[in-house]
Amino acid sequence: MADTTPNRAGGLPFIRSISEDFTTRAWVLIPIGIGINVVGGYIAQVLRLPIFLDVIGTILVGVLAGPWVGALAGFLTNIVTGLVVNPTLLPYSATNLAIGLVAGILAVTGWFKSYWKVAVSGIIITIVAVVVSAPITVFVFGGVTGHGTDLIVGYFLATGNQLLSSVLKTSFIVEPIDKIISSYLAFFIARAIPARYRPPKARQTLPE
Amino acid sequence: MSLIEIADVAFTYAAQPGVRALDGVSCAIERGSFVGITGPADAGKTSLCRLIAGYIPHLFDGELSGEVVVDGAPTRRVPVEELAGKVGYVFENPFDQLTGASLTVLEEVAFALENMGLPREEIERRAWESMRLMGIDHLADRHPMRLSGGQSQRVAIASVLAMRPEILLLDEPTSQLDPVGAEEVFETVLRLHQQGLTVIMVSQDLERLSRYADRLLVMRGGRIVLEGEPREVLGRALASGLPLVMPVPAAVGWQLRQVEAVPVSRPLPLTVEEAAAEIEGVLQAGGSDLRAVDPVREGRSGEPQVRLEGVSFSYGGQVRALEDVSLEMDAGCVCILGQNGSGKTTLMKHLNGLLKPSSGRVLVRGEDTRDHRVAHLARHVALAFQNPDDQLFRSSVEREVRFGAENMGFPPEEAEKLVERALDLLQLRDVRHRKPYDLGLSWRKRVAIASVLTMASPVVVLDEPTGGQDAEGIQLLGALVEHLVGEGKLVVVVTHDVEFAAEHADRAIALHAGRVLLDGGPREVFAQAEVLARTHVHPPAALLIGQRLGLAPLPLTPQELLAAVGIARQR
Amino acid sequence: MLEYVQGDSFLHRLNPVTKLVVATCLVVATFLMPGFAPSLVVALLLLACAWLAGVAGRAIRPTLSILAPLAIALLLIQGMFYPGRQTPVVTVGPITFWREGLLYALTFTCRIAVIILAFLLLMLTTHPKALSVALVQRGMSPKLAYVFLASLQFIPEMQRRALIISEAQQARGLDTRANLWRRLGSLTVMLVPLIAGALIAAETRFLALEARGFGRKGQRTSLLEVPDGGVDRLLRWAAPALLLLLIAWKVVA
Repeated sequence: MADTTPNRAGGLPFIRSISEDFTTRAWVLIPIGIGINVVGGYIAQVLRLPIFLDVIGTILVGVLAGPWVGALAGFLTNIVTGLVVNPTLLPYSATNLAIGLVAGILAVTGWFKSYWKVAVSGIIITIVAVVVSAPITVFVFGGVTGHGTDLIVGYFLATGNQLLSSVLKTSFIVEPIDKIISSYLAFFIARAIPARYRPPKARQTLPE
Repeated sequence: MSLIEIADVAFTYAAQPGVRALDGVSCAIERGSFVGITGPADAGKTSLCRLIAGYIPHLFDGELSGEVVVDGAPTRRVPVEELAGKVGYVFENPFDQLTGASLTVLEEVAFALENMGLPREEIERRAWESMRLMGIDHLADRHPMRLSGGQSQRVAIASVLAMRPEILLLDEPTSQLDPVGAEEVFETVLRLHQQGLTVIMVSQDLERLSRYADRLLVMRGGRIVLEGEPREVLGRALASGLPLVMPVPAAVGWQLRQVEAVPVSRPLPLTVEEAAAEIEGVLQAGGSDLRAVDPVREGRSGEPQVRLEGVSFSYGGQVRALEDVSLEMDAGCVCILGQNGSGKTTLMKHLNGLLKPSSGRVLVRGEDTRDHRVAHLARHVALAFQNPDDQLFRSSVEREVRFGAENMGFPPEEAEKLVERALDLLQLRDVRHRKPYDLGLSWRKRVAIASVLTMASPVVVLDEPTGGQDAEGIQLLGALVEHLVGEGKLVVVVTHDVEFAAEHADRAIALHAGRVLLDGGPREVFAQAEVLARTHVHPPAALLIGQRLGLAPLPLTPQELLAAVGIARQR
Repeated sequence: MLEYVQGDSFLHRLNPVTKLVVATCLVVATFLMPGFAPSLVVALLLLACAWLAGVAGRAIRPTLSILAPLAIALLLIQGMFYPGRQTPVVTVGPITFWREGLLYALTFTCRIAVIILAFLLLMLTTHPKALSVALVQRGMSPKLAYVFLASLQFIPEMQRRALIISEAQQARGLDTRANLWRRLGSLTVMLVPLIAGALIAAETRFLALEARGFGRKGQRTSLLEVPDGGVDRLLRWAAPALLLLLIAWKVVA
C-alpha cells in the first residue's frame, strides 16, 4: 500500500494509528534522530554554546513522524548510547521517550505551527523532561549528575530542601533554555526541509 | 511479449502537485536487451525507473494513469518485495543504498536473502556467488562504508543480484564515481548483460553508454522524445539541438556530416578509433594543414595569488597526502587532475586554510594560512565543495546565495548587486524563491556555487563542479569560468572531467601520490598520455584522435580538431 | 565506538540475551538491597568476572572515568548536605562532612559502579550484531534490530559529516568565533545541512531497504548463528526468579 495515513481529526486518532506510523520511512528516520541527538551536543560544543542539545533529534523525529516514532527514537537513543558509550545513560531512556512522545503529541495537535506555539511546546517539553528525570536522578544516582549543576543542588540541600525538591528546582533553572531552543531549532529545521523528504505525518504537523 | 511494457503512463507526485513527472510515456523493453536512458535533469528518468520497479505507485504517493506490465504482471497488483525479485534497482549514490546495518560486505550482500527467510546455506551460497560475479569476493570481510565508490557500487549490485532478478535497473550509477570506478561499473554491467541479464541504465555518460547499449531512449519534460539505435539517436539529437552531453567522436562526426565531408547516412562514430578513421578518409580526400591557435591569457603580474612552498601534509601523522609540493598560481583557470587519493582534495583544502601544512607553508595573497582562521581566508579564497548538501540551509535560493555576501559583511546594496550577478551567472533567476532542497542535485550545486560567488573573492575554487551535471549545466559552468577569468580572478577547478579541463584550462596540474606529476599548459600536459595514465587520467578525446592522425600541435577540443582538418564549425 | 573485545571466555560464549537479562536483574537487585555492602560485593564480583574473561583491562578505565565525576559529586554534595545529616565525621573550617551523607554517597557510588560494570561487561563480550541477532531469535522485531545496528554506524557517520559541514560553511565565511547571537544562529547553519543530507540519504536507503524486503512480514533467517545452550536457559530463568524472590522478601520484610 502507498505510504499514506489519511488524516483524521478528533478523539484519539493517533493512538489508533500506531502501526501506521511505523512505515519503512519512519524506521529510517529513527537512526537519524539518534545520530542528531549525539551530534547536537558536539555542535553546541564547537560553537561554544551553553546548551546540551541532546534531545534535538528526538523532538525533530516527534515533529516529523508523530509521537510513537518520536518516543522510540528517544528511547533508543539512550539504549544505544548507554550500551555503547556510557551505561549511566540507560536509565534516562525514560526521559527521552517521554520527550519524544510529548513532542509528537504537541506536533500532531498543532502546537508546532507558529512561533509562539513553539515556545509553549518548549515549556511543556521542559516540564516533562524535568518531571521524568528528577526521580531518576534521585533514586538511581543519589541526586547528582556529575555536572557543575550539582552545586546548585547542594545549595538547595544546604538551605533545607529535601533531595527530590532540590533536584527539581535545579532542573527548572537549568533545563528551560536548552529545551526551548531545541524546540525552536526543531521547528526551523523541519520547515527548511522540503515536503518530499518529510514523512506524510509531517504534512499535518507543520505549517506549509 | 516484451519483458516490460509501459503504456501511456502519466504520473504526478503528491508532494509536487502540478508538475507532471511523467507525461505520456510508452515503451517496450525486450528480454535480454541493454537499454540506455538519458536526457537533461528533471526529464523524468528516475521516475521512469521507479515506475518499472514498482516504487511508483507503491512507495510514492501520486496520481498514476496508464499501465505498466513487468513479466506479464501489472505492477499495480504486485507487491514491491515481489517485484524486487525481478527488478534489481541500483541507485546513484553508492553509500546511501547500503543498508547501514552491516559490518561486512558479506552481511550486506546477504541482507535481502535474510529477509526472504532462506536457509543459511542457501544464503551463503548465493551471497558468495554474487560477490564472485562482481569480482568483490576478496572484499567479503571489509566494512562496506569504507570502500571506494566503485567498489561500493559493485557491492550494491551484488546485493541486488543475490535476489536473482532478471532485470538490472541502474539509475545514474557512475555519476558520483571517479573514472576508474565508472569504468569498473560499466565493465561489470556489460559482462552481466552478456550473461543474459536485461539491463536498463540511466546515465549522462553517453561516451560509454552509447557504445554498450543496444537501444537508447532520450527523455525530456516527462516524455520519451527520441529512441532507437544509439548512433542514430545521437545523430537525431544533434540535428534537433537537444542538449545532451555528446561524446566527442560523435560530435566531431556530426560536423563532418554537416559539411558533407562524410555521407549523413553513415552511422556516427562513437570511439576515438572510429572518428580518427573517418577523418583520415576526409584528409586523404581533401587534405588540409593544421593550424591550431593557442590563445594566451594574460596573467596578472606581481605577487601570485596563491603560493605553496614545500608543502607536505599527513593525515593523523600517518597517511602522507601531500609530499613537498611547491606551486604558484596567479590568474586564469587552473585545473587540478588526478585519481582519487592523489592529493587533489588535500591540496584544495590547503588553499583556504581548512588544512594547515605539516611542513612548508601556503601563502594566500601574501598571508600565511597558518596564521589565519578559515573565515578570514575565505575573503581571499572562496571554495565550493563537491556536495552542495554540505552547505545549503536557507529557505530560499536567493537567501542562500546571499549567505556568502553576508558573511563577508558587505553593505546591503553591494550584497544585492553581487546576489543578482550570481543568480544571473548561474541562471537561477527563475528559481530564486524556491527552497534549495526542493531542487534537483545539479541545481543545488549551482546554488552552492552562486553563494560562494557572492563572497567576491579574487580566488574561486570549484570542487568537481561538473559532476552529475547535464549538458546545459556543463555549458553554464564553462561560461562561468570564462567570465570569472575575464574578471581577472584565479579560478581553480579540481576535476575528473578532462573534456571540461581541455576546454577551459589555462594550466593543468596533475597530481599523483601527493606529488606534482605534471604542470603546464593543457596541451603539453595532456599530450603525455603514459605519464597521465599513472594517475588514471585520460587525455581528451579530441587529442587522442589528433594523435592517431599524427597532427601537431595536438588539438584539445572538437573545435580545434575540426579547424585543424580545415572544417569550420557549422552553427 | 565498538567496545567488543574478541575472546573465548565463558562470558563470550554465553548467549547475548542471557547476559542482558542477568545484567539487568543484577542492577535491579543491587538497588533493592540496602546499604553499600551488597552493591560493593556485586561490583567486585563483576570485576572478577571481567578479569576471568580477560577484559578487565578494558573495563577499568571507562568505569573509573564515568564513575569519577559522579562519585566526587556524591561525596561532596551528599557528604556535606545530605538532608538526614546528624553525625559529623570530619570538619575543616566551615565545612563539615556527615556520616549519613558519606554512607549515602558510598552506597550510590557502588550501585552506579554496578550499572556501569554490568553493561560494560555485556558489551565487552558481545558483538552488537550477535546481540541483535540473539534478540531477534527470542522474538524481538527485526526492524528494531535494524535500527539498533544502523544507529551504531550512523552516529560516527553523523559526526564525520558534522565536521565536513563545519568546514564547508567556514569556507563560505562562517565564523565560529563570533558573538553569542551569531553563534546561536549558526546552529541552523550547521544542523539543516546535516539533517537535510541525512533525510535525502534516508530516501534512497528507504527505497533500497524496501527493495531488499525490509517491509516483508514473515520469517527471517540470519547468516550469523548465535548459540543458545542449556546454561543460558538456566540463567535466564534463574536470574529473574531470584530477583522476584528478592522483591518478595523486601515486600514482606
